[in-house]
Amino acid sequence: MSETRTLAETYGPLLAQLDEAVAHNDEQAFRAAVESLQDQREGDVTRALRTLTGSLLDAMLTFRKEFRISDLAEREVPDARARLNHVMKLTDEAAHRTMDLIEQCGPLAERTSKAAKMLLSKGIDVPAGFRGFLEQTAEDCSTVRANLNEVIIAQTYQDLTGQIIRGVVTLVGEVEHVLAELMRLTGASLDEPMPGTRSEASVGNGYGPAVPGVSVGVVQGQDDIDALMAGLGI
Amino acid sequence: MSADIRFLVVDDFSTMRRIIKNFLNDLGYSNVQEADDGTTALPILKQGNIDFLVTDWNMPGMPGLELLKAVRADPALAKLPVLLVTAEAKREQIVEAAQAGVNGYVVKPFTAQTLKDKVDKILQSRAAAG
Repeated sequence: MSETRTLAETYGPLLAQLDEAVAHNDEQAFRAAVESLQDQREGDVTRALRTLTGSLLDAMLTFRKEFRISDLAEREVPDARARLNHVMKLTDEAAHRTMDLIEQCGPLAERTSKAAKMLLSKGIDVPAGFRGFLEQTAEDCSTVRANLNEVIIAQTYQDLTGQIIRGVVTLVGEVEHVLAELMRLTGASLDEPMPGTRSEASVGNGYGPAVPGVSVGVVQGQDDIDALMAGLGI
Repeated sequence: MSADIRFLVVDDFSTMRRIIKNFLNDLGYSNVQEADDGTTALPILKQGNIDFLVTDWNMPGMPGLELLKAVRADPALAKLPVLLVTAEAKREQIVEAAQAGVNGYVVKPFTAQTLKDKVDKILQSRAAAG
């Protein structure tokens, strides 16, 4: 209802029409006056709704503009996901490349170590310095072989970092979905993203590698696990 | 201890499968098969040609704990040695795995010695049990 007009100004003429229609028992005029009243009332509601919608739209546009929803939803968040996937791919390739080379080097160290030991075992009369060299060679190559094995085991980092990254990729996918929904609500165009498939973290599905400062209730290394397992009779 | 023990290594990361396979080869076990989760591992196990299961826990499809439970629930596989090699490190999970009948539990990252100790221990108790 307009605030600048009084009730008498707004409804006075219509009430007069109603009065007159009743006085003359004019049903047609009476109905027309009632309909006019309804129109007037609905007009008020429509105007209020229009104002409200306008404010909401303004707020949404400001929101989109100020929070860069469109940039985030359409480019930056999907980019973040692609980058993380790329990191996983790179570490996977690096780990396999490392293992390729170790698998080539290991047998070389082993061959050298064995050859040195074989020469020593033949009991050939060689200068003391040369014997010492052969002994050292056999020992060093065994150490190299053992260390190379540890380098292979150390490639476990790829699995551990990969699992953590995969968790973040899933989270980023969810953020992307929420942003896309916000975009849709604020009227921007964006293809509906694929809903992320997420298997809930739980005892059964697993929580992934422990992250310091984030994970709770985790054991402190293998000794802790061994003690726990021993306590359980295993 | 027989070198012809047939291993199945289950992990969704190819890096980890390769690490464990390499490690087992180094210990003298050359018969090592691979699977990338419980769903692909179970049919291989059901063929009855595996003597030792090494599995990860957190995998898409069927996780390791479910695989362990499926193995223990199958009369033909119930006594199969199972070693969990996983990044999962919550106390409640270790208890859960123990209750589900796991034979050993190694947390990633691990050393070659730790893995060797657990494999040896399981094989020894298996030999002792006949």
